[in-house]
Amino acid sequence: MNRSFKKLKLVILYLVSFTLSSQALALSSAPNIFCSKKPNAPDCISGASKCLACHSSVPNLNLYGQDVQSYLFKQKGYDKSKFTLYLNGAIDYLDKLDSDSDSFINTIELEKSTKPYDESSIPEIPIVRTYENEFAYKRMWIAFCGRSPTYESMKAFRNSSNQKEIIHKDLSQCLKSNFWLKEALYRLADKKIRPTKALGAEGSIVVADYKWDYRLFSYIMSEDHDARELLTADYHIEPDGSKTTRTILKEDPVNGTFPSNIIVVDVGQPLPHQYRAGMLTTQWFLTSNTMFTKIPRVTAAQAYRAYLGLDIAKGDGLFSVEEELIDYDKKGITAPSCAVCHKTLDRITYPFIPYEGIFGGSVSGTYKPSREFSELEGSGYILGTPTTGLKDWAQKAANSDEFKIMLTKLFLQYAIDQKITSDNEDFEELWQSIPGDGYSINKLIHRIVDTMTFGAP
Amino acid sequence: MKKKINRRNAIKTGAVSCLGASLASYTTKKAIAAEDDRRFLIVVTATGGGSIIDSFLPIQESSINQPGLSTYTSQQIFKPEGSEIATVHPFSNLKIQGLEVATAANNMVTFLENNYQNTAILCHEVTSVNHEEAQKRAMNGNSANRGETILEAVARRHGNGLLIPSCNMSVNGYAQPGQYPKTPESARPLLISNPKNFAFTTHASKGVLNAPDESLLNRARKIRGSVEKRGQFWQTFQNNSRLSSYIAARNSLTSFEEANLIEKLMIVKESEGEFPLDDYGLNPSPLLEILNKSFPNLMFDAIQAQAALAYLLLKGNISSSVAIGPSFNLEIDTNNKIINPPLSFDFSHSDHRNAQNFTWHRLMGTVDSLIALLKATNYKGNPELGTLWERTLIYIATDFGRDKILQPSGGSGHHTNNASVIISPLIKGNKIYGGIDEASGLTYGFDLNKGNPTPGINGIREPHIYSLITQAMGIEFPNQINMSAVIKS
Amino acid sequence: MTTLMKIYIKVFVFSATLCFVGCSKKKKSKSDSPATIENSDGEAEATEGSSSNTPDGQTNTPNPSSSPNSNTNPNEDDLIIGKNLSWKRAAALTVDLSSALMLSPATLCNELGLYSCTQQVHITELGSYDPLQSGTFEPIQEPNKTTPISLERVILTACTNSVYHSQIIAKKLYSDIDLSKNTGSISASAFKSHFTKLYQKILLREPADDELTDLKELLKDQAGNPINNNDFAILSCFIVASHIEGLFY
Repeated sequence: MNRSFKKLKLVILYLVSFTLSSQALALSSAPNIFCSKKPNAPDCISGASKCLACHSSVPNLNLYGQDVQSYLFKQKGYDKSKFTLYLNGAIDYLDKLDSDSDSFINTIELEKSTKPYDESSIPEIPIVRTYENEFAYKRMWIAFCGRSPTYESMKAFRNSSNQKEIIHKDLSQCLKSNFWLKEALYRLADKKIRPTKALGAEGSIVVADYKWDYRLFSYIMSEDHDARELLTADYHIEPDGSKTTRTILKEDPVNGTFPSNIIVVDVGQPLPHQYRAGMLTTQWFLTSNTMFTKIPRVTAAQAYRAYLGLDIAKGDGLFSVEEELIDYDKKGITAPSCAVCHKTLDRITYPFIPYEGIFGGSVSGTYKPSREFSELEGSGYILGTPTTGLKDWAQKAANSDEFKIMLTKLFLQYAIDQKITSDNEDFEELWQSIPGDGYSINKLIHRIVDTMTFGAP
Repeated sequence: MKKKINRRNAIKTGAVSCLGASLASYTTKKAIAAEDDRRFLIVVTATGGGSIIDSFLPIQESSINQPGLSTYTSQQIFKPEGSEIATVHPFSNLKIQGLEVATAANNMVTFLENNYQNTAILCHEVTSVNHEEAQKRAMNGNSANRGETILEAVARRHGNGLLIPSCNMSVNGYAQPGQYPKTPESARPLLISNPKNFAFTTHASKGVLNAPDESLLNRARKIRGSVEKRGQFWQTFQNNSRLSSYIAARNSLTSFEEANLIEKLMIVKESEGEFPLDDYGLNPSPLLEILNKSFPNLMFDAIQAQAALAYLLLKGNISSSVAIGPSFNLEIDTNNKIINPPLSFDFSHSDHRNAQNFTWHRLMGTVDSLIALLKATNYKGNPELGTLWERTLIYIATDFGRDKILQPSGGSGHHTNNASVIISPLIKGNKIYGGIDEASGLTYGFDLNKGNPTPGINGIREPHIYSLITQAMGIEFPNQINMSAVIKS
Repeated sequence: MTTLMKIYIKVFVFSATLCFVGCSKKKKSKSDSPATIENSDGEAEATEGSSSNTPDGQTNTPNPSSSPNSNTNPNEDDLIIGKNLSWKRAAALTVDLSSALMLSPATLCNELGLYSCTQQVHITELGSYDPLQSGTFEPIQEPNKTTPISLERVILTACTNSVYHSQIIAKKLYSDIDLSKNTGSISASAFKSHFTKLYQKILLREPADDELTDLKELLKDQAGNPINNNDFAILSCFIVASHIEGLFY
């Protein structure tokens, strides 16, 4: 009991002395001394009480004021008569402290007119991360080789004075690996190809073989091929990896034979090369998207979304065409709520009309100018620009900024395994570099691994 | 110098610790309150576009019908006595594009006979005919509630204290998370790609041959936690949101294990060569016999397996909102007959009437069985709390409708005009809200005050359906449309 | 460099981590932005260029060409260290684990001995997908509620398999432990050598002393009794392979 009582007395004494000394600090000259040294301090320029620089409310001290007091009490021979004398030293000493623990030292806060005693008041100074070679190296390996580097290679990397070179040398090898060419690139193509097993060459009702699409995508996205060929290629990639411009029909040996219980509507690449527009005219793309429709809006919308990153359903990529919107196939598209999107959608769709989807008894996915409404082929638009037909549409799309942006987003997001925001620091520079690199995705990837977005933890 | 800490850390730590105390008492009170009024939502997706005029609003053929309009003979249409709602018998010798299908039981008829009093047809228009976007809008009411999906909204309101407040077994746009940033992580649905496998993802060691016992494993976990905090990696990434949520989930994994979900949710039966559970020290769900009676094809019919798991999740008080639905993949039974046509309802592009007829029957048969189980099960096993069904709402969500006038090939395209089906004792059932213009096959809407039809006008959209469901589930949000005309007071 | 900036840099040291600061809103180039690391006295000292304190004592050299020039003012959130973390998803996890544990991907982990853990049963939870089987075309963006369970299950199975699957593999991988003994002591040098091997194979570095100190707890059970060598081998593998540093990068 006695000890507790003594403790209580000490506490009371401390509180009394604390209050008294606080009052002592509240000398009238103090605010002026402080503000002459720290003219940018928020309490010196706000017009409100300058006392708030050290006091939450007189005589109570704020965090900064408590640090002043603490400094003063530590000075040998200090008493309140020497307050003015010691205050300058206190302010100087406090400069390098962070009174409110907000990670910004007091001098920065007072320079930048934020409150050194309030952790929610902080200067607008960015914390700049740095590129970490080891972080980037491991990330590069997992993203592009599909596995971590070995301990031995990591050790060699750590010991190297040419780490950057090693990153790029290994990356070049990764981009030739089976993982990259047959796994990673295939997964990056999934949302564009949208395979349906039941309708593919391994399904029960074969309408087309999407493996052609995967091979074409992987080929164009690899080595230093021109990425624009995603929309302009007039060739296909055979199962053995060779390039061909020939037409491939259902009976072609490359398609193999199917068991008798499988219905084979069609399989191959029957479209003559002069009508081909890369991924947009593969048999799978046309049959799975166009199917039986006369005006293949789903096909065009998927092309717009997959290759230009513009989703009309979300209101992306809408442009205004002066010409009247005509409801050729009587779908009710001229209703005001529909017309908002269909003014764009129908115009980007017209060039696809002569391309057959599925037609009973006929070859699927070929060019057929006798299809109903094919006269609209030359009335199409892309990104607000008129087009003469699908090949022109595809060419203009392939040269657009939207195409470059789509590619950059695809590979950057893959590389960092995260969505990027529109204000990403590296994004614009990356997509603008694409033409200068000859539309090579490999070069784009080499650039990506050099960015802060990739290499800074 | 004061201790240097990350500003955000400091703010977060402070905020979390303050909030922690108040939240604890808030969530406890809320959980107790929610216990009494907990409700359940099951979304069943008519993936690909289920057409209402080929299911619950069939048009009887007559001389004035438009050529190509999908209509039915009087013999094909069935309406239970007392029901305001009709449906269509399964077609005889049904084949889809010439392909054999599994036996189509008269499921829609049975469903309607059993449930017409709790069934409402809400005629509406949707705003997208793009599968993925339309599916998303069916789930989020076209962003009616700041982008939060219906599953999330229900999980947020009724999922407090549950292990997995929301599960989603559907696909594509139906499986997308909502866009409302304030939806808590706990209310985000857990995606389940295969209900037959799901149980394995709920326990880290049970059924792992030769694994050390659980007490040693828990000790190893604890040691790992200490070791992880030693390295530079932790120093760099300790505030990373991805890592933080991973560690938070890891810290709560023992609650999954303690709940023994690996057996409670194991819906496959012991079978040598296929599911040798016994060899691995595992047991199937104690309710498997009941499930097999209700869902006899659950071993190979994905919808039946999903429904079985959905039932266990509700019965076990594990989840408050669940979505099930067919995928776009072809499914066949053990006799190589079709269970789910390729593209599901969207096979209507090729063969509208057969695809719609077969797929609707398949879906509603499963729904009927699920409802029967919910009706036979008391909430928390306590008769005083009523049955699960009394607390449940089933929403048959569809991408969109189909063309009313079929193509000469028999196929149909996508159409905005359609209706949604809601089944629940919480709503005023046995009613068609709106109606159908039999000449065009187009539905019209209803007035919101009394629920009376408004021929020629259909102002009902996705936000109305979303508002109706949320209101029935006791959820409020800004700009919610008052759907009292449809909800039991 | 101004004094102000030097002081400012000193304040911005995250305990043992690197932290880099700039003085203006416009991003500084590498040469203007020296790194700091904390010395043993807790004081910050400037070093040249980009630097990281690697476990084996190596220091990374600066990257001469990594700073993109940009005049944009990114969000502060984008600039906070530690924001940028990838998740090692099913494919890479399978290859890394298989390689480290000397098991083929096919024998790494199969539920009920039949169904691939990483390609079928746990594929969604491990952040991947099969477009042809599931009809989905992208993985889940973030680990979900059951991801840690799936990861632990896969890793525990793989570690168990590495001990029991093949004596040849087990002898190579766990050469410091006598797996024929039910219980037994493990010498300090064998203990260190064992974990060093696991760390090198899985985390690509050596264990630090304080980590080894923590890991010694694994030698005994809750009651303080020594655990058998097989359990020790499995659980030591489990701890290292399920360490966050091996699952995120």
